[in-house]
Amino acid sequence: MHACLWIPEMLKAIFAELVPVTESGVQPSFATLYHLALTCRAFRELALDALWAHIQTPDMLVMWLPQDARSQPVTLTARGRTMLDISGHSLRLLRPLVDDDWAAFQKYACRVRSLTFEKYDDCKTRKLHDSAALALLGSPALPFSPFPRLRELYWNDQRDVLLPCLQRCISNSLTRLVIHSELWPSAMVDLVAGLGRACPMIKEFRCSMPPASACAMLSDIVTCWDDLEILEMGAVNAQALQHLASLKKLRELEMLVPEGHSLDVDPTSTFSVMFSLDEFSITAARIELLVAFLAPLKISAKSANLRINTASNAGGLDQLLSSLTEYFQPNVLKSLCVWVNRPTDFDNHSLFELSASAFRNIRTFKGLTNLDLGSMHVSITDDEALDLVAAWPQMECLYLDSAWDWGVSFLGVTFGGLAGILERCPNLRSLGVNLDTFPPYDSLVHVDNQYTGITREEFTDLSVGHAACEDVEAIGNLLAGMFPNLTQIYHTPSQRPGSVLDSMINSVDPSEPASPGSSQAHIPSQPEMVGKQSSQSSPRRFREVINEFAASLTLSLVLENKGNVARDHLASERTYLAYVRTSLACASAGVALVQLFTLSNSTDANTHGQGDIVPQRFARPLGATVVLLVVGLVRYFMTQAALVRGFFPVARNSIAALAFALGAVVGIVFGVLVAETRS
Amino acid sequence: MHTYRGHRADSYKPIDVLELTELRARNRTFNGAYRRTAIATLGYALTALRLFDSRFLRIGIVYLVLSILLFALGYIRARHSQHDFSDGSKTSALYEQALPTVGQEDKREYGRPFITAGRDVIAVGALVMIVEILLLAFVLQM
Repeated sequence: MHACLWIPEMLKAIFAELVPVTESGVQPSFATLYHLALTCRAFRELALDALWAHIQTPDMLVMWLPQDARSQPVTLTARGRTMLDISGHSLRLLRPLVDDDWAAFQKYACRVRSLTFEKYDDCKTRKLHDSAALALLGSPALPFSPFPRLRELYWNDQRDVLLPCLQRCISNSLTRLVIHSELWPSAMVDLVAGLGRACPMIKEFRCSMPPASACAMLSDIVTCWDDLEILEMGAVNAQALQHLASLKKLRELEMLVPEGHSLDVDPTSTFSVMFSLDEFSITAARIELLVAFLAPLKISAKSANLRINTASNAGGLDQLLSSLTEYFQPNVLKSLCVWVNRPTDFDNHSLFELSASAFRNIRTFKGLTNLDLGSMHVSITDDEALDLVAAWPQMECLYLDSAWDWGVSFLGVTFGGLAGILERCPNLRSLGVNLDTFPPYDSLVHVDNQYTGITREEFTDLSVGHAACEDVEAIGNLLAGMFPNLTQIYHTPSQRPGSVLDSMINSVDPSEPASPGSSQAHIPSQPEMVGKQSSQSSPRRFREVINEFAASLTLSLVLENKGNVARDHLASERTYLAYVRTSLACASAGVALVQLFTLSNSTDANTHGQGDIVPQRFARPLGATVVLLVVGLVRYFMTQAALVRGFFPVARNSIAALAFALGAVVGIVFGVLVAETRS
Repeated sequence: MHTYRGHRADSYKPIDVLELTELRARNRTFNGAYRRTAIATLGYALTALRLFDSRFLRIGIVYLVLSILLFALGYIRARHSQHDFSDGSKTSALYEQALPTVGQEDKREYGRPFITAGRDVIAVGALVMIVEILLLAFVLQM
């Protein structure tokens, strides 16, 4: 081996290449790592570490047990190749585990750095049965935390049966913990309450929206963590907020404000907290809760996301948008997104309609590069749009269009306004405005179907709201002139009741029988059908018969070279050659005997004067040789066929008969020899 | 051009005891069994040609031919298995028609599919049978 490969750091770097981190997570190349682990002792430990560092589905845990202890994944195979996995099947343990199994399990468990329990899904192909998971991770045979080097734990299982496993997986080395359980059963609340002391080194913690009653508990555990960098959790109380504000490393903070939450601060007090972050997000059940939570905060963040899970009327939104400058440092903020949910049913859309003046205070954020107000119900005309964007010269992504259908037509920005926006924001890459595409087009930028205004090469995405496209050629020319590199145009789908929505509901019919198993069961019968069809024409049938006959006589089999297969067949071949040698030895002995008798006869002839010897008498061993050869051949092919099926045909009668026959021949020859010398 | 774990054939070395065992099994078969049979036949051919009298000339020559042909067959058989451990890029068609062996499906795979020696076995059997029939005929003619 090359000297470089003896250096563990070098190997670590090489193996890290085999565990690439992509956008969808870590994707180790399992086959390569497996082969590397088999390659040599120097690679073995490191490759196994890399191989088992990221457990993406809990069923991988069972792979550490010996094969007889676990059920195999069920697959349907046809001609040796896997056709399909049976869904809904889960791996189980087949026998109680003994000490050796636990030792092996622990040896591998030390290697785990990241563990994911995914969302429970009944029809997933590979999963661990709950009983197996509980038996493995809930067993007293393991030390209290079986994964001593676990760094990252992702818990997406929504049910509470596996909570004992979660308890065992939590080790004090954890730095990243993600718990997505929307239900928050009481056992889960108790478990999370213990996290503050159990995992002191947490750097990233995320959980889903907790009930309001759990927020006090969450506040308590937050105060135990000093290394936090990323935090996503339920709204915490004033004390915890102050603790968070004092953390230097905290980069991202997301607060989830549940329904019924109240910040236990006296509204008359002058309590306020300063935050300095990269990204601040807040998700609230209602807009009042969001405003109440933000009230004491002074946040200096590059990026702010505000999400409100229910619809809010225009008054509340207006107030929120105007007061944003009180919460966020205007000169730091670069990205702002305010998202309000759509009202489920509304009689009067004007209750939700904002005027463009609601955005006037956002203009204070001069450095904005990213602004998303797409969920607002607002009509912006050319002048208002130009007035707004003039405040944001660095803007790159701007969304002011309406993301869903409010049932009314909008005043839009004309192409002249669009050109004006481009002029004021030179860095713009994507833009969403309600575009007014009706003629006549602005004569400033449109002359003889040709666009004459500013061109932006970097611009790629355009969202046009509900704009109609009636004059395709003219609009196409205009857009192509403005944005030569445009790649995508989004159009808000129309959701008028009775049209799109109803047809969508009709297309998803729950009563339709969906049974994937029954359709798959027909696959193996297809070759029979093909055979029947082709047997109708006689010449083809003849050829098939010949082929079938030849196939049954296949002399050389092609076998997967796994385990003992090659060695078994080679041994069988050697046995055959031993038969051949025996057979040849018999023939040689026969020939030698003929010569021997000729010699003895010629010497005897001088004394006794006997006649010529008859060589036929001594050709008998030669006759036996062909029998031996045939037995060898038959045995070889019997063995070859049986080995593939996992059997071995033990030779008993044939060996006994051969031994008897050879013994008889030897006896006869010996007798004849003795008789010759006597006479 | 067959590569072994991405390298030229010269650099091939067995990586563990299991692979060494596989190699030894092949050596026992090709260098042990086949060549031993051929050498034994050659020895007997010499015996028949040198020690026996002139009537056994034909028999000696038959043995000599048999010995040479057995060497040839052993060589051909060994050639068939020569690249059993090489990287399986060009042999993907073989992989598709390879049959699993009951009980060995989950074991370690050593290389490209193993082709059993049925044809070579038949060839050796036919050769030896012809030789033995010839011997019988020659002895009976004496």
